[in-house]
Amino acid sequence: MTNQTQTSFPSVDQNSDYIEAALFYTSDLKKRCLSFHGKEGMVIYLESLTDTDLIERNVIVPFSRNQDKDLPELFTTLSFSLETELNQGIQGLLEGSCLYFLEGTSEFYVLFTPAKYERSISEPENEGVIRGPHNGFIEQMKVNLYLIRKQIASPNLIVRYFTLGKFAPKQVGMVYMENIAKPELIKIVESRIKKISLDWVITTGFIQELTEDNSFSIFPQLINTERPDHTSSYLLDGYVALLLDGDPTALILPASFFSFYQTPDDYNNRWMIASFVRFIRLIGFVTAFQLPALYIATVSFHSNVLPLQLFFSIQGLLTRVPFPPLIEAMLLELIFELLREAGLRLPNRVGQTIGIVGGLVIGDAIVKAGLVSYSMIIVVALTAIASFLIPSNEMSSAIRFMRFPLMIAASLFGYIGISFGLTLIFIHLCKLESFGQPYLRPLSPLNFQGLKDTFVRFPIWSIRKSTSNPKTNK
Amino acid sequence: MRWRVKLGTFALSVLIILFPLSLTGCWDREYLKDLHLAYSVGFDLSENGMIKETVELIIPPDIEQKATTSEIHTSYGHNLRSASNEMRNRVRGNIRFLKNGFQLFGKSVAEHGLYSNLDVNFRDPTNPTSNVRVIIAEGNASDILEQKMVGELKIGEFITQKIVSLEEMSVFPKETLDTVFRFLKDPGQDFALPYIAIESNEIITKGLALFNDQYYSGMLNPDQSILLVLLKGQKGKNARFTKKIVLGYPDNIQEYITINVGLKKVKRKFKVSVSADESVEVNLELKLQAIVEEFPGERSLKEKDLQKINQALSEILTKEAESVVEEVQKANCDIFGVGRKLIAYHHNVWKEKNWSKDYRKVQFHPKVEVKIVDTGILE
Repeated sequence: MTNQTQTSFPSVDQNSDYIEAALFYTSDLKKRCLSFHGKEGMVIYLESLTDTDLIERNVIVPFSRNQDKDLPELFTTLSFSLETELNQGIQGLLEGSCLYFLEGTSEFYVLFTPAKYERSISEPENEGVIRGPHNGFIEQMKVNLYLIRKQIASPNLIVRYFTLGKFAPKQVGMVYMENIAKPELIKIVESRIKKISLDWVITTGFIQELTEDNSFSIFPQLINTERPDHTSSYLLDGYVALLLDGDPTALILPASFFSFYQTPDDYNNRWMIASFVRFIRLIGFVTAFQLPALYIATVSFHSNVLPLQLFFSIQGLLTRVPFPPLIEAMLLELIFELLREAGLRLPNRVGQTIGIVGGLVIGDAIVKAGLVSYSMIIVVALTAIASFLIPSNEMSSAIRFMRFPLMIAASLFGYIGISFGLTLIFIHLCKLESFGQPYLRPLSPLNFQGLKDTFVRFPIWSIRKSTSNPKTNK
Repeated sequence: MRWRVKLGTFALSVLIILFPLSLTGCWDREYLKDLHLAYSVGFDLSENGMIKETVELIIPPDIEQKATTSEIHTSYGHNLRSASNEMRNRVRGNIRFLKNGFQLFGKSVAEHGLYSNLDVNFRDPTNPTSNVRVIIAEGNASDILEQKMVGELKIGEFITQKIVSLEEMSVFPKETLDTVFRFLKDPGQDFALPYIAIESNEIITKGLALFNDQYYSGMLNPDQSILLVLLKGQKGKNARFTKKIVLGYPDNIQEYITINVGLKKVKRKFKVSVSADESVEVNLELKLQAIVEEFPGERSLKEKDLQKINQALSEILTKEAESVVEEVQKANCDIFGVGRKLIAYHHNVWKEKNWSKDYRKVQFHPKVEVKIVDTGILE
């Protein structure tokens, strides 16, 4: 949009010509003449962005009935403002307002008549819970803020708006709790958002990549969620949330590695059961990125660790397979990733067919054909299931990706290769920071109070002593 | 923190990632499917002084869900490795001893000294030692391995299971290649190994083979071996004795009683003392808590009877312990580690002794005390 200013002309035609030119004679721009007290007048609006019923009822009908009243009194049912700057008017048009010009006056009316096509507030499909609130964010930031404020009715909850995008501006909302979030953190977030210079922003992925600390890490450094309760609980812990208009995803920062293993359900379950579930997830984490590597190392270097009966049964399974274990594993992992990606893009009903074709037909035929062994199918299937245990899709993808380098290391050096690979990964994790906070907290640096809510979940009375000591202040 | 990646660094890191990928058939990689497993192996001394090696090879099935099969092969060589290499010429290539369950030595080898035949196991780190049993065969080891199958079991599995379960019954002390190596290198302690034989196509337990240094020097029967294991301070899950006792009542009933002393704690006292004339005396005391497992007698076991039985059993077992010690001393096998004690606590005395001769002069005072603590649920 142009940055030059232009005050409105006294003539209606001149004004409409200017606006039409500024919007390049787009076809959905509508004009309608409405005279008032004998003077010529005109309503201009973009029919795709406005509620035409609303204009009909609250703008056009009052004109035909109440010619004797003053102009401002006509629009009592609408929120409106008086402007003199034509470019402000154009901006208003793009936000769903309609403009009214009157011959001979230098001011014009901006009447707020936006169309409301909203998705209903429903539970996010990828973050369902058994117990707890079942609402989720939608594409309207105002609604999302409403959902957060419904959870946290506190004057300390603060929203700061930023505008991103030069060609197509969009609003970003930074939400935090004034007394809980660290001021330094707010400063870092603010400065990083202000530094973003983009022509357009469509999804939160853009903000995520432009604000994270290390773009070359495969680990996600911002948590994303579509759940208001999840967001609120983080806000009350001193985290900061970023909302983008038009995207139902909230970004929460600074993330820690363990926050990707926690779900709102953990706090709805009894604490022992929640701890057990977290422990299962931990096993899932270890399985998801080490099992194929361990298997490869075992069958190509360290067969002597297998118990005798297992030794013979695995050997029996492997005799007909012509490939080394690494190729076998890569082949099967690739097929699995293919099936996963294909299932993702298909409608639900066809998706089930993919499951049957992929899982049963290919799985069985590939062994019968002697391409891979049953033992490798067991390993890859277990790995796949374990990777779905991770609540966060992003972390799950990171872990799925991580196992390939580990598999190569295992096939080159056996168990030693795996331990070197793990060492490198942990060095990276220890070094990684998210908005100045260590990524592996509370494990490194070690914090016993924090550990109570990490691998296990202690009873709430033992982890939440007081809110004046939030996680981020440690 | 942003990384500033220079072209050179980038190219280098790509090369570092790509080069290992080209290193495929390298180092000590051994695919499981290519392994030919020798599960059990036996050695004999042939007439012309060559080592005769007998190996049980496990052949994986070519179709899944079928059982593995086994082959027995024999070869000759000047030592173990040369016999093994000769073996590799005869069978389907590289055989590996990864999951070796036991090594069986014929008596002829054991009489000529074990160490030279175990050397290869300790020198080559890829050979397993920690869970490999060493067994002595009365005749030829090859005769036993050539049985190939015992019922449904392969010979190797059969012998391993047999040894393990007899260890649990306290018939054999738990000796593996690791522990044997320690005793071979220790001048102050000797060892005893399981001793098996083949009799009318059945593999039976003969007892324990006693060793003096590395040479076979005598044997004990199974009943004596249990007592020896207990005297050594070891025990398995069970240790059973069946003894005939004479109850000293006017009617003089004789009964057989079976007791189990392995379920309760065994108290052992082992004291080596040197008297003024430098003669060595050993006090070996055992306090056993017994559970009566079978007593098909007419007399019910009352408190008064128990005392008599305790006394009778203590006497019998003490006598047997004396005979065990006598046998052990005759075989010149310092199984209890009297020499080790001397090295540790009476070093000057040890230095003056010629242990291979003086061990026989050691005065043993074994004493076994049995106390019945449980007579079962019958009463």
